[in-house]
Amino acid sequence: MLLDDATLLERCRQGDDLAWEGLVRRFQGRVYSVACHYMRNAEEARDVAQEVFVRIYERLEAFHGDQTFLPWVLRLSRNICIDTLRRQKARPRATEADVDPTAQLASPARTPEEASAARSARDLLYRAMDRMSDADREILMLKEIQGLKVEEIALLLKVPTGTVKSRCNRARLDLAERVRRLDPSYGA
Amino acid sequence: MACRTFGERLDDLLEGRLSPADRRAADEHLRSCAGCRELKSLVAEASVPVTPPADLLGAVLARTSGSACGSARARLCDHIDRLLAPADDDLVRMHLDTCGECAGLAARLARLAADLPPLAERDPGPRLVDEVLARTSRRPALPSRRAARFAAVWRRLAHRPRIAWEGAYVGSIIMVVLFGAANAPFADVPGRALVVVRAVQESLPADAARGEVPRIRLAVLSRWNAARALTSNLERRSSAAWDGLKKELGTVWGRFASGKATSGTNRTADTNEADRGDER
Repeated sequence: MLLDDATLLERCRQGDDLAWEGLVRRFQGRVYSVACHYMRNAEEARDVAQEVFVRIYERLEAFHGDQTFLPWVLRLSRNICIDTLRRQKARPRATEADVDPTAQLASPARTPEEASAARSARDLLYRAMDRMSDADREILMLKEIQGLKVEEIALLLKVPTGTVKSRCNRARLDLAERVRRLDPSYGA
Repeated sequence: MACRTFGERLDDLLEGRLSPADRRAADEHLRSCAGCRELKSLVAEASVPVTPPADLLGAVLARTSGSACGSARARLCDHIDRLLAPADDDLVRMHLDTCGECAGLAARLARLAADLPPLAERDPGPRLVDEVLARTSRRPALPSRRAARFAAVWRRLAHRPRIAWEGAYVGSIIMVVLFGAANAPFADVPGRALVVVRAVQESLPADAARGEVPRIRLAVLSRWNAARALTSNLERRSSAAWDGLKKELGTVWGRFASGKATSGTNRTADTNEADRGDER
């Protein structure tokens, strides 16, 4: 049976190194995914993900049990990504969007055909999302991909919940349209 | 049978639900009444299902409310997420049954709802965990980390060029708050000190004050000499400390210069040491 997040956190606060390693392993995929989304560069995303975990380690005591851990982690990841991007603003990036969506995704074991179909679907989605506006990509990433609640996103982005819902619906329709243009057979 | 009664029973007659006696009466009435014969044939024709023209709905909507696709699309995401009220959900379903474009969009949205959540995690490779653990495991325990964090914040603040201005500003404010403001806790201290000095001056008669002058001069001279001795002692000690610091800096610089030359070798040695520390 897997330890729940609260127990894992409590063990980490008590200084259990093994629990800390478990926590990093559990959340590394999520944090790295968010970092890739903002940084769009694999190496920078890895650096940011490291920084996020170091920051989590330093703030373990500041995290209160009454909030959910995952939204806290995602919020922290987003803030660190945005800070890093702000610092980088002066200098241009070496490469744009060099995250390889097919090779870097964690996927559960499937048959080769299913894995191949999943890879091509993800590739298609990443290509479609790549052309969307930053705001639409962000809201899709937070709500549809990371599964945050509307209220949590509203708190994070400092906008009303109605705005989050309408923006998200607009972004989904936009993505569906972009996917259709890239592959008319998608969803048929 | 009267025409009115025939009209009331016409549906039953057409669907074969009349009793034999009523059916006979209806047939007799039909033979004698041309209007009811016409009514019967009209109703019989209308009950045969006829497919409406394909463009009828579009033509009607174009002349009335306009296309309903916009309204349907506004509710499509909620329809996919099953968040719509039953009545709205039925309306969207009815629209999707007749609008191929919206039905295609709904199918793509449904597929997206299934395909997007698996993108929540990416594999960062095997190195990330090790790197994070290397950066966190040898850190001090949590209580002292707080002090270290405070020290780091303080260091960052103190290394800014404007810290001197800020210090002077804060110091001035403190002085004003303590001594300068009308209700300050020490507002009357400078005034009282002046009063005391004046009182002492006034309490001494002029002759006595003149007699006191040599004694005061002597006292001032002796204090001056003591202060000189103290200052020269301090100078000696600070110059010794400065010499020591210079030597120390020279040693550190020498080590740094030699370390830079062999940095590659040292880094490997540090890493090995760190690895050994981890294993321990």
